[in-house]
Amino acid sequence: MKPPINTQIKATPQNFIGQLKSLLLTEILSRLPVKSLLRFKFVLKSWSSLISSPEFTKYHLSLSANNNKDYTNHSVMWRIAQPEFNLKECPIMEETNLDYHMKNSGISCVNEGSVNGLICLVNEAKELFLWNPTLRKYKKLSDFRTKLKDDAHCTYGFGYDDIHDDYKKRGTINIADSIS
Amino acid sequence: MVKLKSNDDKEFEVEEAAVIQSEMIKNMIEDGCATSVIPLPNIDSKTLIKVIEYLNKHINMGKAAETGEEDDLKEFDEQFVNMGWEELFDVIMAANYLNIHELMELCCQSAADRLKNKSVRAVREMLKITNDLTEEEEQEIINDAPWAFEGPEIDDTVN
Repeated sequence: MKPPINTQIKATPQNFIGQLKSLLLTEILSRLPVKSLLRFKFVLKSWSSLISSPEFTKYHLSLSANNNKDYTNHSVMWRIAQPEFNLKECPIMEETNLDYHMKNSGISCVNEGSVNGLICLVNEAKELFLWNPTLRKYKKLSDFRTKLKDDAHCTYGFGYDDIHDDYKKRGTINIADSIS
Repeated sequence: MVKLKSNDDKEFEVEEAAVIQSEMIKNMIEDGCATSVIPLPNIDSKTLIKVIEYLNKHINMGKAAETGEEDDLKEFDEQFVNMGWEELFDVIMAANYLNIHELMELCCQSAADRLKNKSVRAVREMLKITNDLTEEEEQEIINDAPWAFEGPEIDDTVN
């Protein structure tokens, strides 16, 4: 798969990277971890626009998902941390507590699913957030429950829509709870 | 045997089993277009020698796995990418032109590994890049992810 990226890079006689076709620069940069990429936006204007482009992001995701044969980019996630449940006995794993931004606010969050490294969180106020732990960024999602009774019990689902290339959340209302 | 000609008019003979690792040449042979010398106008002899060295070592990748020569091949690959930036980029461009997937992977990964933990200053110096961002643009990038510029692993040396 080759991404349709066309970025102009200034070429000077001593500028190695200027001699590389932009497609080849994409091939190299897409093999870097996210932290390096965020830093390398600072290298050159064209690097910044290349790294920020949705085509590049998608290509980067496809490479890290497909080339990662030892599954080091994959994690098992527990929804709720409990001292009696842990993965420390499991020899191949490293356990980390995910550090989400509302952690210290006293509002507890429950993760409602994850796809492609994105995690959907719901807090006690029933606000929905999309969280990218690698970029350390949140996006608050629109609240689709406004038409519902406040006490309705809602269960959420989160997934990737391959046809529309978009992420979808889904709420299921527990009718028994809403009637009572 | 297949004959290849570099852009500085040097001819090289390569075994067919080795050269068909290049999708481009494989297609040419299948289409019957490789009966005489194949000119490669984008590749100089210095780079072509490197590419042929790789192709000869990597004949019958499957066999290596069977006979336990995988470690030997891995060691060769490590040694192979031990070259300067300019040379590495020439090989990447040749691998892309000839469509040699494994060689492309090897060299692009090597380039990425060299850059991975480098500071912005080190990357610019290594690749001889002059900064063209405005102060506002720089500030925006830092504000967006200040943590990407911090950490004990960040290496400011140029090598």
